Amino acid sequence: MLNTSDEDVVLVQRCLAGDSSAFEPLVERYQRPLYNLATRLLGNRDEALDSTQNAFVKAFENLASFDQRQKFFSWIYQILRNECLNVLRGRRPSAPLPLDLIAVGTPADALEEGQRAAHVQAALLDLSEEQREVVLLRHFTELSYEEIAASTGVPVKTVKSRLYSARQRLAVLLADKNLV
Amino acid sequence: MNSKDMIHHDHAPQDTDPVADARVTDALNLLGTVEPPSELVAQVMWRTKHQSVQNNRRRQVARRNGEGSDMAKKVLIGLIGIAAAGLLVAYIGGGFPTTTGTEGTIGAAQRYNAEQIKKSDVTIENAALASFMQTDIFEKLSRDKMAVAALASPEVQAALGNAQIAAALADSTLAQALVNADVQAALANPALAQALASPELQKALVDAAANGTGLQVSGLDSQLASALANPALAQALANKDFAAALASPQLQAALANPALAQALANKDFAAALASPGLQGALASPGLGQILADSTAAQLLGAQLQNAQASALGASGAAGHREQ
Repeated sequence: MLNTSDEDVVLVQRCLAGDSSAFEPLVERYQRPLYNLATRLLGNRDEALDSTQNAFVKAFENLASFDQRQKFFSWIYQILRNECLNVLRGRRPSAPLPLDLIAVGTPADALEEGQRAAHVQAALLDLSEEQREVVLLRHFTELSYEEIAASTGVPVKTVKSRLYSARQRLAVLLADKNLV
Repeated sequence: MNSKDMIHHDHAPQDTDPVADARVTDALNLLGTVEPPSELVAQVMWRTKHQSVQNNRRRQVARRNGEGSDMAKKVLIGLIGIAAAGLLVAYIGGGFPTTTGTEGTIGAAQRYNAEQIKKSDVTIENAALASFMQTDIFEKLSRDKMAVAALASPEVQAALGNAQIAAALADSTLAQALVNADVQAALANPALAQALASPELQKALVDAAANGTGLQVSGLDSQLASALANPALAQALANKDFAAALASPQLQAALANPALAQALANKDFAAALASPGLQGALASPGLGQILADSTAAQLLGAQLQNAQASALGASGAAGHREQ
């Protein structure tokens, strides 16, 4: 039986051979982690949706450049990351960070829990882009340190130190809100 | 994914407080998972499909241009050869005309001077279309690839030209439900339109909408249930958004019109219904007025495509300038 990574390669090869419908299972498989990462990186669901869609379309257009020894997720994440960075750079410096994620993923009636989640998201948005990225990749995906390093283009040591500083800073920010 | 135990600080300094660290992990777990919108896959696939069509077209044009330029080169070389041969023959045969004693007066060359095109020369006969084109809705539509493709289709124009259908589709709940392929198939199924005439089904749909649930076909009268026995239909009805949309009398009336089923058979149309551009436009009376007139509808499709092509051209040029 094929593992996910092998299945991805088979699907990519089918796309490259002209069967564009083979791209659909890839979109279905990775839409959730990519959309989640984009949402948490940008703090805005509309922008996250646009960035995720653009990332998939760009990946499809550039499938020929995908190194099939690499994980498909790591590769497409790099595309998504560039999309998100473009969005962040496009924001006016004075523009407040959008924060439309109150109560996301929580029951509507659990107001308190929703507010706590909103504070956590706000704390995440207070981190630097580099710190936020490693926290999200480590916490919300199954990427190893090595894979995070490959996806972000920095050494493993840097990933670990960014993660450490990010979690320290998060602890301070969350303590200010009495969340830890 | 449960990531509570994922973080291992094998590199962390000794002063790390494990309790605080665990609390950070717990806080991050509070964020949960954000479900991507249901239309994401359909929209990406729509874009990749149209992208590949565009890429193929671009490749074909490039190939054709390549062939064309090869041919032009051959023709040019041939002409140069013929001209050189002619000059050689004329030189050898002494056929060049004399260059002296031929002085005379030659008047100014008569050139055709066309007047510049004025604004008044470019008119759009249809006043409704002309004023619609000045609106933000038109602007938004022209930037929405799916909406432009759908509105250029004669079947879609015909369906949206029907006021009842346009009004029913302007309901965002239905538009969201329509992204689901089962729902599209269900709406194109004549059994549903027939069954909707039943007061029992109408009441059940209203109850389901009030309860925020889908409709269970099995709970209906046996004759009605067997009319809706199609598995895709039953699955679609179990979708609470779809059941809520169906409770609308406007949609029930629209479904009785075969033009809707015909338009829904157009995949681009179904995907475009989820786009915010088309959603906003359907709620505008201006669009309905234009689509009710088939000539104006055709003109609108062409104007949207032109506007989109200009926008793409402008962004392409801007991209080049940036580079």
